[in-house]
Amino acid sequence: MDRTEVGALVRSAVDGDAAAWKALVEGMSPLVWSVVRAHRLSDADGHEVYQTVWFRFAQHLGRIREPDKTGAWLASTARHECLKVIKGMTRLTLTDDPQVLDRASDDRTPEQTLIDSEEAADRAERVRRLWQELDELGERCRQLLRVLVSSPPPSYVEISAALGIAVGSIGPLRQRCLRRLRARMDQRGAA
Amino acid sequence: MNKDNGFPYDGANGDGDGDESADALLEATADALLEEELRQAAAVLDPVPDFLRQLALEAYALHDLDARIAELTFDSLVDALPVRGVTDAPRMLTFRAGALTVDVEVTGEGLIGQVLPPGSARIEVLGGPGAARPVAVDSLGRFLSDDPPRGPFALRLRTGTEVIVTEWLRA
Repeated sequence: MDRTEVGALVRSAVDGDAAAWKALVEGMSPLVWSVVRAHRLSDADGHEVYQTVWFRFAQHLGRIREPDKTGAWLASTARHECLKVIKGMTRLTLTDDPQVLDRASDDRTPEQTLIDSEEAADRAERVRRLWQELDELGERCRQLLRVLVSSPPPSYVEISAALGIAVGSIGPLRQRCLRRLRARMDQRGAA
Repeated sequence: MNKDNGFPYDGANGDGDGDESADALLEATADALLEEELRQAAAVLDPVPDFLRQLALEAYALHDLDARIAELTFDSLVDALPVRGVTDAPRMLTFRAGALTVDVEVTGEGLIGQVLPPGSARIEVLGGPGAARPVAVDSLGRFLSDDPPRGPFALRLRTGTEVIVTEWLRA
């Protein structure tokens, strides 16, 4: 979805246009989901955060001060809910060990099945490797790239809202992370 | 000598070294290609689950311009200092809409709360689009539910004169 349409879609949805709401959900869901995934929540927690964000957005629709910046609003709301989940976890476990938050990702059996059924096996293998390397790239890079590659591509303002990092630092960080990932892929290819 | 630091773009616009800017362009192109490849990988390997997308579509029903929103002004999860050794502290929440305040305490056993200033109201716990169950309220606006909210929830209050809904929150 073209981000310039977002403001108009929000205004239409406020006026009762269900198709506009659907377009917003279709266009913005991947961004909200990417923020949830970037924070490595459990499936159950992640699903609840995703729902909370959309419920609250529906509730605040019509009161959003800058409809054109709805993406940033959603990303920021998702981030804050993710941080609350993480805070709740640390309170419960009373530990400062960051490993608690850095749990292994959920198993990907259904996706694996999907890949197996794909005809372009080589390409699928590279995609799978790429995703695995991303997972092992280090937290900052993994978080940035996970949000950066949601569809359609988010703006830097949205990424900033999603991860709480300055807009100005996104470009250099993006470059560094993509190059690090590329180097790892080249290394594996050569091995 | 500072050109040989592994970051050719640092000096790319400096003294007109054509090879360096060509390299930088190649690198930037490779970055863009990799980003696009990752975007496709995300769409295939980590898509938004269908049932969640469906719930977001249905959430449009929660759009209610007639209701006033009571904003979350205190959340013990964020605003209170953790008490060491207390692992099951209740979640304390305060919502505010104008002069009206709703205090809520969420525990594993359920939910208790108080509307201020005291007064009768009809109160429901919302669990999503179409999910609402009433809670018992006394004449002073104190309410009680022995069914703890799971996942996102909001409270809908009907005083004699208006409808107020608390901000959606994850219990």
